[in-house]
Parts: sequence; C-alpha cells; structure tokens
Amino acid sequence: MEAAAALAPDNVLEVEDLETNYYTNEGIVRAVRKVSLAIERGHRVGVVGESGSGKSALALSILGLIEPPGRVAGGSVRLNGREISRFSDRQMQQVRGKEVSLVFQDPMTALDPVKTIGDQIVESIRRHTSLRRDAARRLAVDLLRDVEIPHAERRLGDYPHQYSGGMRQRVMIAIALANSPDLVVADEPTTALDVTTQAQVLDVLERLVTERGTAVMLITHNLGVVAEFCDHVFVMYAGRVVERAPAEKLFARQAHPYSEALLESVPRPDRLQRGPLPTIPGFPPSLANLPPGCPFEPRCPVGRGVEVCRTTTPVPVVLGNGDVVAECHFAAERVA
Amino acid sequence: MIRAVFGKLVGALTAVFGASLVAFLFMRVLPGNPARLIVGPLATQQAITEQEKTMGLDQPLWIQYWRYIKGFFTGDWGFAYSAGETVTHEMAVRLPASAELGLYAFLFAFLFAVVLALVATYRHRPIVDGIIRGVSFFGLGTPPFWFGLIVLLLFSQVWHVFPGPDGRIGPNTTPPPSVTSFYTIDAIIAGQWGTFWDAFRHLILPAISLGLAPFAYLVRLLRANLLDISRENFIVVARSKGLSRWNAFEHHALPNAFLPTLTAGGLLLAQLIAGSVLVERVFNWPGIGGLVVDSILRQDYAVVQTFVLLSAVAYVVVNLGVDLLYGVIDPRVRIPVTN
Repeated sequence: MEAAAALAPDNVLEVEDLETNYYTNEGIVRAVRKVSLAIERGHRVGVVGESGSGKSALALSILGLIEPPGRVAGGSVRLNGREISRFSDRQMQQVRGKEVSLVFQDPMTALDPVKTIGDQIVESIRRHTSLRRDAARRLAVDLLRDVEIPHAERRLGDYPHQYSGGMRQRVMIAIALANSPDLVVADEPTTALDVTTQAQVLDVLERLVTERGTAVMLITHNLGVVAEFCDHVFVMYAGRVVERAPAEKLFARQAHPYSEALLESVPRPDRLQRGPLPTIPGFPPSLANLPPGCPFEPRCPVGRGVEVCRTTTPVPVVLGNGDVVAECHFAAERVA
Repeated sequence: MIRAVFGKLVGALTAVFGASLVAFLFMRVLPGNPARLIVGPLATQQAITEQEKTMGLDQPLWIQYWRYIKGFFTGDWGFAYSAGETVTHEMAVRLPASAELGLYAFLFAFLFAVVLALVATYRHRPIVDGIIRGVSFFGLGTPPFWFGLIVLLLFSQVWHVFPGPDGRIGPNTTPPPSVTSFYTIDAIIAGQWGTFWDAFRHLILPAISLGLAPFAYLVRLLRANLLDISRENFIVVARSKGLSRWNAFEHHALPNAFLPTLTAGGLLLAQLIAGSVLVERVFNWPGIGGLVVDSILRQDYAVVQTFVLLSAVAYVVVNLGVDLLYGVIDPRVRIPVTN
C-alpha cells in the first residue's frame, strides 16, 4: 500500500516512513513513527487523534520546522514530486509559504503582537514575489476581503489584539493562502474558537481552497470537523497512523477500535442518550517508552489483556477494495 | 490618555519632592556643623555664628528648604565650600565627564548584551549558550573597581594597549573647544581627530568596567526574553511563510524581546549617568562621584542636595521617556491614544 501511494501520479504530498524523534533528558520521544500518507492534488485529508498522538509533529516535520531537541530521523517527504526532506533550510525557505503553508493552532499566539496585520500578510507575499510594497498591500486588502474581514482597507493597519479570535484565524488563512500554495497544513485551525466561529472559519477555508484548488491536510481531534470537511481520514495513535479510510467509510464502520472509541466520544444529536458521554479510559502511552505489542492494547475494549495484542505489534491490514488500512489484529473480523 | 499622562507627571513630581525632602533632612540630621568645619577648629563662637548666618543655617528649616528648592529651579545651586567654587560651576565641570563615561558604558553594555544574547539563543547550541551565561555570571559577580584595576594592570601596564588612569585625556592633549562638554563629540565637531582618538581610548577601559554589571544584567534579561519568544507560535508561523531563521528572529523575536528590556535599560542609563564613585576613582576620572563623596564627608549641604535632586530628576525624566517610548513601540500601549 505504501509503495502504491508513491506511484500515484498526481499527489501533492507523499510522506513515506517518516520518523521524527525528540531527544530529551527522559529519553528519545518517538513522536512520529514511520508514518506514510499521500494527498492528491486539490483533496482534503483529515489527520485525527488525541493530544500527544504526534499530529503536530507530523505537520512540522512536513514543513521542515522541527526544532532541536527534535529531529526528523528518517523517511521521505515528497512535495510536487520533489524530495523536500533532504532540502537545506535555504531551499526550504523557497518552498515554505509558496508551495506549502501552515495555519497554526492558536490564533491568539500565532500573530506577532507588535506588527500590523497588513505587515504580516505583506511579509508573506513579498517573500515569494517581486511585488512592490504598495502592490503587495493591495493584494493583502484583497486577501482580507476574501476571508471576509469587514472594512478590509481600514483594518489592514490594525494590530492583532484589535481583532477577535475568529478574525485572527481568518487572517492566518489569508496569510497561508497568500501565494496560492498547493497544500495548506492546518493544525487544529478551529480548536481555540467557539462553535459558531468554528463554522464560519471553516466555511471561509472551504470556499477559498475550493476556489483555488488547494489541497488541505487538516489536523484535528474534532471528528465533526472532519466529517464536514475531509475526503479522506488518517487516524493517528501514539505516533502511528492506525487507520486510514475514505471519510464516509470511516464514519460508517471503524476497522480500528481506537477509531470507534474516538467517534463514540463525540456528542451527537442523533444519539441523545442519557448518562455521561463515553470516554476512552486511560491515557495515550508515553512516546518515550512504548510498550511491546499494540500501543492501544491497555485501553482497548476489544484487545485488552489479549495475548496477541500484548505481545505482537500489529501490521497494517488492507481491507475492502484496498482503500481502508488498519493496524489491528482484529481489523479483518471487525469489518467482515 | 491625558489622564494617564497627568497621573505620570504627578507621580514624577511626587518622587522628586520626596527625594529632595529626604536629602535635605538627612544632611541636617547628621551630627556635626558645616559652619564649624568651614571656619576651622580654632574659630570663635562668634565666627561660627557669622558663618551660619551667611549660609542661612540660622533660619527655620522650612525657610532653608524653600530656599533650596527655589534655588534649584532658578539656577542658584549654592556654594561648594570644600571646592571653593559655586555648585553650578563644579557640576558644569564634572557632570559632563560622568555623563560621557556613563553614556559610553551604557552603549557598551547594551550593544554587547544584544549581540551576546542573540548568539546565545539564535541557534540552540548548548556550549555557546553555556559560555555566554558564564560571562554573564562573571559580570554580575565582579566588583567594578576590582575589574577596573585588573584591566588597567593588563591593558595599560603589561600590554600598553590602552592609556593609564590619567582622566579623560592624556597629559599632552588639550581638551577640544567646548560645545557639548563631551570630549569625543566636541573633538569631532572641531575636526580634531587626534583628540577624538585620545579621548576615545581613555573612555574604553572605564566604560567597560562601569558597564560590566549592567551588561551582564541585560544579557540575562534579553537571553531569557529571547528564549521565551523564540518558542512562541508566531515565530513558527513566520518561518512557515518562508522567512529565514535570522529574518524571523530579526523581525519578530527581537522587537518583542526588547520591550521588557526597555524599562531596565532606562533605569540603568540613569544610574550610569549619575556616576560611579569607585570606577571614577580607579581611573582618576574627574566626574561627579568623587565630588559627592567628598561633599558628604565635609557636610557640604549644597553639593549633596543638588546632586540628589539632579539624579532624582534624571531618573524621573528617563522613566517618563521610557513610558513614552513604550507608547511608540508597543501597539498594545498605544491603543488608548488612537481610539
């Protein structure tokens, strides 16, 4: 399957066996463990998982922005067919913001508090074009209009603290799309916002990437957002992709018990049951000290205590017509 | 906004008033009689009374205080008996010497602190960072006069790189025509490059000795700020736009790290310009520090009172300047002005 993804002709992004480690005093934290994924041009992919499952490390690894004590330890990242994981930082500077850009988690801290909104958008434009300052500013006004900031012209000179959270996140989207990249990596773009604002921001993002044909890698723990937005879903647990599937298939039937548990812990109006919302007991394992066998075993409703789950690391199981892959010993019988 | 400025001004005036009161009362609470010190141990009681009368010491305290404040603001700063000159004259001679030294010490401290803090944090190199932190600890823990003596010994006596402790300029150089009373600046104005070079060389060792502790303090402050800010999300975002590591630092980390340093820098500047007794002694610097110490010992009321009031005013002015500067640099402070 992993080789097959690499052969597909029109993938914006192909990640293969990517490994990212953090070398800390407590030992090596293996944040991303041989992750492979591919994103087709113009498609939207969701990467889902709990906090600490390696989602953000994956995003930063793709952009080459892992800082010490972290390091990309192996694997390959191909963007538009070029192997960017071997690029120098200088080469990556030509790629970042132009071919791939980032929408960051927390809009409250993602903008420089002492620079105007306009300057921060213009900075991104001028980094990759030879536009003069006034032309770049006009482009910035257009971008602000695109992300539905009212009175864009006037608000260009404002500072981040004069914007609301939702507006800041829309500014982040404007910055990310400033040079019409082929891929936007959106790391929890709506997590810090209230539900109404989430929907607005997501609508803006959806409209703009559709207009521009931009591919999106949406990192989130919010399955509702994924259901609304993504064609394809990658479920991450303990630094691994434990299940990948087309969105509608995943929501219909989960091959991995973790996916099922994740889905069940989302409140849904069509399942108005009494009693508390189901949760996943326990915590994700420490990525510095992984147990042998399946990393989900201690918390798994299916495999807890089962001999094979405790001792043997599950291999990827390809299911259906090949578009569902799950790393679970029971994947085949669960879907059958 | 107007209320904020008004509040700051009231606070500043209160501080100056408090300092003047403390300086005035302390000098008078100290045992001893300045009139007796001036006329000498063999003088008659009548001569002492006469002297007290000319100095105004026979007047009630509140009248003396009123004269002190009034004199300070009208330019009549009294007579420095130990020097045999008016205080105005003494200050005019010595204050520029201290101020020039303080300014150079501040420039040294600030520039080197910025450079070293940047080097320490720019790339995560633990060894470089460790060395710089060591330098900073050394600077904080070293007495300036001791450091002054050591550098004099090494750079002047052993290696003859810098001139010895002969004040602001060498014995064979004449001071440049006075415009600002800062020798280096006056020399440039007069186009006397030889004089400038001599004055500059004389400034280096004392400026480093005086600036060492502020330098070390600023390194610590800036290093911590930069380290915090380099982990901020907006730095990652700046990098994700395609900015180089250095550009992200220069455009986003430095301006943010400077803000909290501004307050500390302002206070240090005021402190340095007010002069340092010990460093001035070591380098034979004809500044204000030595004058003040002598004047305290000789109970020269006029000099001490003027000095205290002058430094209080300097602190207050610098702090007000820093507050205003914040308004210019930090948009979050500027807000009440624009809206």
